[in-house]
Amino acid sequence: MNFEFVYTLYLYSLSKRLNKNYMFKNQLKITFRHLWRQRIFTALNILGLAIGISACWIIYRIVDFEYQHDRLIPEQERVFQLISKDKNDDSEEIGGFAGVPKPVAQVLLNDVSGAELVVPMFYKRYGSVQIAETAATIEKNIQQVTTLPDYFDMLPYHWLAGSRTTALERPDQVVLTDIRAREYFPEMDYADMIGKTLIYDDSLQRQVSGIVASLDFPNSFSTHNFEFTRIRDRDLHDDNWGGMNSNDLIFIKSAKNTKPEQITAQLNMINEKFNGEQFKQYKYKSWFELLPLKEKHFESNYGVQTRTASKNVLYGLMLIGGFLLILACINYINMSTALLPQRAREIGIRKSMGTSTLALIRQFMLETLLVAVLACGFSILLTSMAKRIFTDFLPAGTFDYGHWNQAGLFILTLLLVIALLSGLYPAYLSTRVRTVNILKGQTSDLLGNSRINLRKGLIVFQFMFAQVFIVCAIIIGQQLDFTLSKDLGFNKEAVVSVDVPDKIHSKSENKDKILVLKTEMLRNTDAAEVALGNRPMDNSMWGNIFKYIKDTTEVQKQINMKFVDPDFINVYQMRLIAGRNARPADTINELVVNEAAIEAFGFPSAEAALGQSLTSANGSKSYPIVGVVQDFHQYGFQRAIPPGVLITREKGFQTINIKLPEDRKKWSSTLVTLEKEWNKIYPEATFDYKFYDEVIGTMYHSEQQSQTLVRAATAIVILISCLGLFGLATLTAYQRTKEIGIRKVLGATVTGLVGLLSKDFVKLVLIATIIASPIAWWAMSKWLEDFAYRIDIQWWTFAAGGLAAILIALFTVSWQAIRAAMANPVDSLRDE
Amino acid sequence: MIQLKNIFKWYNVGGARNFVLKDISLQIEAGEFVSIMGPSGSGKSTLLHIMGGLDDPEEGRYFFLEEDVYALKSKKRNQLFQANMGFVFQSYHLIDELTVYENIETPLLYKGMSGSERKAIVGDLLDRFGIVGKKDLFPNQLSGGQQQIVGIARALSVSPKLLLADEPTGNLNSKQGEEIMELFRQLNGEGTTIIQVTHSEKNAGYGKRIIHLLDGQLQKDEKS
Repeated sequence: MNFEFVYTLYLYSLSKRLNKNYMFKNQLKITFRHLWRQRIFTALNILGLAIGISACWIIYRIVDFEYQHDRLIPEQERVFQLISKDKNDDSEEIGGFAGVPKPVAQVLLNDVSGAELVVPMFYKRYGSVQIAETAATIEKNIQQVTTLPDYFDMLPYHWLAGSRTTALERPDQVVLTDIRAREYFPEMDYADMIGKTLIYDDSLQRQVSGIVASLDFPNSFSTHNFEFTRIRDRDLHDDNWGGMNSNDLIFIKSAKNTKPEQITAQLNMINEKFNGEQFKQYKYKSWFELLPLKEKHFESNYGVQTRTASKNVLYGLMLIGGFLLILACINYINMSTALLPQRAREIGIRKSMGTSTLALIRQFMLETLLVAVLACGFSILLTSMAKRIFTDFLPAGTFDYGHWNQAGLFILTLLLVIALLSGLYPAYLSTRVRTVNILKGQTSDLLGNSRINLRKGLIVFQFMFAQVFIVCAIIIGQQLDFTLSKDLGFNKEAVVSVDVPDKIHSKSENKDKILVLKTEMLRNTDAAEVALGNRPMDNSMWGNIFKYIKDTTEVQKQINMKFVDPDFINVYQMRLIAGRNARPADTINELVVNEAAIEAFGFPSAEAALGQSLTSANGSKSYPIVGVVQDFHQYGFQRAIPPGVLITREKGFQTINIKLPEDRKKWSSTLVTLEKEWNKIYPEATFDYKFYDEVIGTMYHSEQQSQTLVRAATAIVILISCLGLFGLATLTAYQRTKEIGIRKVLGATVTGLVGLLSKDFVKLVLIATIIASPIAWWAMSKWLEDFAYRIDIQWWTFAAGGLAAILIALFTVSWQAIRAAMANPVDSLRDE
Repeated sequence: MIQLKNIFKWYNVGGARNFVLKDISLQIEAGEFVSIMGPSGSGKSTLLHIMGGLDDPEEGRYFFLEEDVYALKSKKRNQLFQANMGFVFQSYHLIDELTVYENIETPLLYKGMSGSERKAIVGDLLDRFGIVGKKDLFPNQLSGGQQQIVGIARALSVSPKLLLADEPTGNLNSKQGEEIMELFRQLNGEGTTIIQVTHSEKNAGYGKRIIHLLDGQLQKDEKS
């Protein structure tokens, strides 16, 4: 083989490579030019895809963040949380609880084998901390984990100062995370913090013995645990098996090759030994199980002290993300096939010059990929906007957490999927262009009817989604309106209420100062009414069991109790339907019950209940019913009105309820004078009043979140569907240009033509409405099942949704239709 | 019937005026059968479109049935043209989605005619052109000549005084072309004024008057 030959070969391959390179550049250039010439469509395509990509990206980040929880904990598969389960003998239902009895800790430590690490985490709370050095006091709720040094073996903490071996040796030591340490000692080096003294609740002295860096990956521990002290011996030697508390958690790391059942079997045997008697006596049983750490983040039952995520919500999100992506791709297909007839000439000429099918497909795929990449760039802007709008929905830290390799891989995959999903069909169509027809100048015949039908199908599919979302948004809105405006059995308007903070309330010198406050407020401000006592509808609740004994029968019911003063029913304008208001007394004396209680105890009427007595659960005391109030809601509308009783007493109140004067204009001045009175009585606390109607609004927080989410999804789906419809309208207008021209020559009016063109689209949207209605109805019925008090789904919501969709569709289509109808028929009927 | 005065039509191409029609003045009486001839790009079709009201000139005046067309409001103008003109196209321009019957019926629908009237008129036309048996067929099921007959029937449905035809035989073979031309002569004999644009000397010969155009100007106007 001589040198010359090799050289020629080299030149040949070089030229071939150059050629290829040139071809690619050429293709890229044409693609760019094409995209630029059709910039409106390119922009719409980019927008549509960017919305899809943004939604997918945000949802991916949320899902990834949630699923990555605890994954980076070393040997995670061997870490478990110990949970309690119980079951009554006469019921099938198994109860579960995160807290465990304290003695379990020592049993695990001393009498059970197979656990490599036993980590009790017993939480303690304080109200203030003083930094001894500066004497500065920080008032806040502080939660400390009392645990064993094993905690730091279970989790991969990095020590910034101090060391794992010495930091939790003695009970007077405290380990802080860097975040907490910065709060207490803003300017100090971590090393210098060691040995500093902190005084909790003015009495407990602790010395800083270590600083650890917060865990830098999503996990179930670092959001609530900032301070660690050694578990108290008293807790470790507790022998009360009876009590369980969500403050007492235990984690275990099993030894290698040990099944969790081996550990729980031993523990449950010991449990049986200590408590078997009790189980028999009270006809129930309790036992322990180990919850794998992998699942902990998704178990809301056992999620005390940490945030949990719902797998169902995540699946829902993934579904929405997938659908949005599909809708966006459908759009792209619609638009690019819509443009195909106009490109047919270029394609035909290319084909006549010998372009291979493969090259043609490549060109289309390249174009799609390019649009997808541009959309990807645009979605950076969109996601940053969305992140701001949806802050409330995003779990804290979702976007702080890196995991970038995977994220990059996801974006790449997403791009490829988009390019394939949306590029292949138009590419395939382009290869079907009939060259001869094109060169003869006939483009009308390019895309047969069947392809139009496919596109119509896609549009129906899109609008079906839009329709479902529109109807859902309407119904959720109606239900929320209903919950906020329906008669609650009391009047929530113009009422503000304030709680006296626990810390102040619990001090003996403040005892019943609130009575003075009430008198002063009534005397010195123009508040219409003032009452003391629990709000009628609230997140916290007291309940007790009462019995009604008549002859030989005994009815036993759980009743919610509201401790109030006599003015309470005036402030909330509750209606007495029988009897009278109760007279205040030191202890429980007379009862005013609601209608639900009347029914629960089986009284024939409200009047019949008057003078009857309810007895306490142990039968020791009985209280006469002196009045009956109309039913009033105590929980949200999700739950039926439970039996309730107003218990009127003289003191012990922590909440003040103020009815503002009728004239709204006076409110601001009234609130100022109210605050003045408050400050006189409680100078150390702020007058942190809340309008009661707003408080009730916040009780529907999750429903309002659903509403916002559904509204956002509705807007997005409508937008995407409109993009698709616009594409189809463009195509149809183009394909019917000739027909429109003929009709115009034959005397059709512009309005008539616009009608003719729009009619078909209205038909599509109507079909979508018909398909969507039962789906929306089903979904909303399911959603409404969560409410004991709910609206009936009205037929007109579907009509209204359909009408809205039709109007939106008409609006989208009209531009193209009008343009087509206004066009001069001379141009479309030219015979060249 | 038609009087054109100093008609100019031009396009601006890069600042220069590109004349399509240059100072055309023309008079056509009722009952005439006029053929407009000339090479490609001489402005024949444009002239026909202007006479049919499909296109407007840049300058000049146009009287149709004694009315000053460009002085009329557009609605009135459309009515005037619609009621008195029928169009026949080279490529027939039938609506593909409609049957023969429906195609012929379409102009009557736009005229707002009642169902029974429409039925009578369309029935008459089908009968007269011998296409009763094809009334339920779609255009693509017909031959070119048959399609053009449907096109003519459609043009005649509104009983126009004037029939404008743009190369009516351009897409047809010579036998079909002859048939169409015979039909035209017959229609003209019955009193319809016809103006046709054509390339073919032979077809032009069917008319009573031939107007020659060259580069947008009237070159020759021969009456036989």
